[in-house]
Amino acid sequence: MAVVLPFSEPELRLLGALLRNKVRFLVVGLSAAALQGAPVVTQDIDLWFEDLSDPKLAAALRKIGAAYVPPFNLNPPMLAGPGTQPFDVVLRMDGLDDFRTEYRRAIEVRIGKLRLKVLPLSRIITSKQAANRPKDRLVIPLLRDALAAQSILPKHRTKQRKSTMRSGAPVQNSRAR
Amino acid sequence: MKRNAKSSGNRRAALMRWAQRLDGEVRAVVQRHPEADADNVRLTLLALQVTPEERLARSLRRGRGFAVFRT
Repeated sequence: MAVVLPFSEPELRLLGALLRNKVRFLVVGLSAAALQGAPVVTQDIDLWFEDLSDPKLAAALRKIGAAYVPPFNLNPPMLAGPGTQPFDVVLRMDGLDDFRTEYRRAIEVRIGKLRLKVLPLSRIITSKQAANRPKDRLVIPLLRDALAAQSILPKHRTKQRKSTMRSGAPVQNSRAR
Repeated sequence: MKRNAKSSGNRRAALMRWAQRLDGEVRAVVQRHPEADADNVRLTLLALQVTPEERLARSLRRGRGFAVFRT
C-alpha cells in the first residue's frame, strides 16, 4: 500500500534542511494534535522556533531557496519560498514554559525519514486554555477527549512504523481538566 | 464458490470482532472519563490505528476542504 505523506517534496526538503542544520523547532497547535490522533482539522502547520535569529535557520532556508520574513504592518512572521506554504511561524506560545523546557518534554514523531519534535497533547491543551480565543475554546473539549482516549492504550497499541512516536516526556495519561 | 463464501464469512467475523474490541475500548474510556464524548473517543482510537503521517494528511485535507467551502 502506498505511504500517505502529508507533505509535498519541497515541504519535505524544507523540514529536512531544518533538521540537518540542527535548527531547534517544535510542531505545535492542531497539526501537532492531529499527529497524536486528535480528530481535528487544520489548514496549516505551526512551527515554534527556539530562535528566529539563529544563523543556522537562515542557512537552512537559504539552501532550499527560502527565507524568514519578519512581521511588518499586517503581515505576520512567515517563511517564504519553495515548500514554505503550509508552515506558520509561531513567535510565542501562551501558558507554556520556555522553549527549552517544552522541547525536553516533546515527543518525537516520524514522518517518512524525518523525526519531528512535537508538543504533547496535554501541553497543547494548556496552551489553548491560556490563549482562550473563541476558536481555542471550541476545540479544547475535543482535545481533552482525545487525551482521555489515549490514556487507556498501552504505547505499543498506537500505529507506528518502527518507533514512529517516541516520548522524552512522561506518558500522557493525566487529564488536563 | 463454497470457499469464497467461507472466506467472506471469516472476514466478516474478523471485522465484527474488531468493531466489538473498538466498542469495548470506547466504553472503557467513557467509564473512566464520564465527561468524554464517545464519538470523539472513537474517532481518536480509530485515528491511532493509522500512522501519524496519515492522521496529519487527513486533518489537512479536511481543513483545506472546509476552507474552500467557506470562501
